[in-house]
Amino acid sequence: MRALLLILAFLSGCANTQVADVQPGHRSQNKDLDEAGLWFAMDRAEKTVAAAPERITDKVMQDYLNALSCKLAADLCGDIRIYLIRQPYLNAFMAPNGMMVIFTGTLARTENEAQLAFVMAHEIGHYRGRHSLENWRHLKNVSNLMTGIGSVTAGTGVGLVAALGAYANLASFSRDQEREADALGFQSLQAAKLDLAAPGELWSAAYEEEKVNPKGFMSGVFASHPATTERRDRLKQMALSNATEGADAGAERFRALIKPYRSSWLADELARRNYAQSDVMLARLAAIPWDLGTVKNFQGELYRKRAQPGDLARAASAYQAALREPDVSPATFRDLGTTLKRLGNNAAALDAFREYLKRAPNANDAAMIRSYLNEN
Amino acid sequence: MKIKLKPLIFQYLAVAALTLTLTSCGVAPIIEPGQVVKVKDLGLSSSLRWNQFGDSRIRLWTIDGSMLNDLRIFADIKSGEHLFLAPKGRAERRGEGLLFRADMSEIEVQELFVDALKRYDAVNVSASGLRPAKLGNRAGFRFELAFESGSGLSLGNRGGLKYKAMVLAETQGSTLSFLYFDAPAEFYFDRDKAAVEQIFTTVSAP
Repeated sequence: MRALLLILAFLSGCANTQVADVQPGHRSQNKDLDEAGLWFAMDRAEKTVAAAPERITDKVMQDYLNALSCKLAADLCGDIRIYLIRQPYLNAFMAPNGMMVIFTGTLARTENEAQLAFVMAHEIGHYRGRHSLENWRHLKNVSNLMTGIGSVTAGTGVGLVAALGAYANLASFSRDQEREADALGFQSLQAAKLDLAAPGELWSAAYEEEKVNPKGFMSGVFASHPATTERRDRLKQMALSNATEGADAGAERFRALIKPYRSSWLADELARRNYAQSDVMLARLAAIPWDLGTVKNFQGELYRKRAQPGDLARAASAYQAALREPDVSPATFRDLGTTLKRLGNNAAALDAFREYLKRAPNANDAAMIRSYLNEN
Repeated sequence: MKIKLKPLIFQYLAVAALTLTLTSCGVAPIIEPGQVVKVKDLGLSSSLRWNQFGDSRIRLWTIDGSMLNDLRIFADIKSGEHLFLAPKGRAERRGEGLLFRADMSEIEVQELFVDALKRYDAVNVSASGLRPAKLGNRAGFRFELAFESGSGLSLGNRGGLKYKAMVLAETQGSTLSFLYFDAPAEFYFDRDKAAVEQIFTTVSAP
């Protein structure tokens, strides 16, 4: 990770050369050798992404993302291909050949369609402005840059998607490029009649998470985008001065889309074991009156797994709060039972285990739970 | 481009075990049929011939080569130690990583395996069949895992190779000991499963 960040820091220090915006149907030409080389590398990377087991290929999800992309990209719709990759980080990036990669951690964090749309529209803004090419033009004389990135990142703990991020972005974008992409993203949101408050809200939430990110953890969106309060405030100001009548956040559409995946994505989030960030994220989601059984259950999971002083009691409270919500998973009873057992409250733990088995008699771990009941 | 077939942790374990073997010379490189091997206070044997790497608390047995059929034996993992006895990273040093804790339930140990596989680039990880089982004379538990190798670190590696795994573990005495077997779901796992089940039945633990 450190190696990747060093590369990004190095790349971001380079000045940019302005290039014309991309035109619909654009393909690099053979005579334009530097861009052709970049496209060749990206086309090769795209084949890997397309076949990656981390990719989510569900048709409903893909159709939704494609339709949203087209709504935002307008004339560039046909040139952009979306890949949703199962990675628990808030990040997305756009390669200069039209490949857009979105991490599931982004969808797990965004609260509505408008927030997701801004992430996508911002990336489309980078594509439209050919920002990667601008950077590439300044880097092409650096010997074997692509090979260098690959060899340095190999073995450093940088995952495929992070390495791809380095390839695709070719740099942390400059503040000017970020502002341009933000502005283009705003225009796209406005044209699509989506809520303009969304970008500021999302950036604010991301910033709150980043503030508690312990040293050494992958930084998600901040790895390739400047993390500044200036940006957060600018986005909020843009929303205030561009209020659009009849704008929609698209919360219901978005929630219906992600509900089938939400538990697995939140489990992925906790598997990172970056509990400080996850705690901030879950507290924010718990303030939204939707699917609270799931969110509170995962708050319980976080405290149970972290198990620092006081956490098991917090976990039990969170599970109990989850159980007061409708449609809670039977596993919440099992996890409450596990927590109560660790707290030494055996009678209550057994009650929770019994309820779990009543609701999920054929659960994968039913034999183990029955053994707990038989021991007592 | 590198081709990576297994999660990084297993590459680490294979290399670490090989290094230990080369430097310590304390572990026989070949396990003959019927030979009883001691790993701390666990004893076990096999009706097949296996290659062996490792040290006093970790053994890697393989028939055809690491990544094709790997039986890993971990003994006496103490509370606060990494599940795979790997060096502690930043998360582990903060007490938040893949650490075994003595008060963990069987459900939580299984969950620790799932998180560990995810952490080291396995994808679509699922666990099933958690049930009581004996590890020697100790009350233990078993479960199965399924996962796919992730794309990992290399753009040249597409991942997606399906694996199956089975685990026999026990946490009596505030330490964790376990036998973990995994192999590609296609061909190797089914071929070697019975041999590993037979090894599970030979385990002696006071």
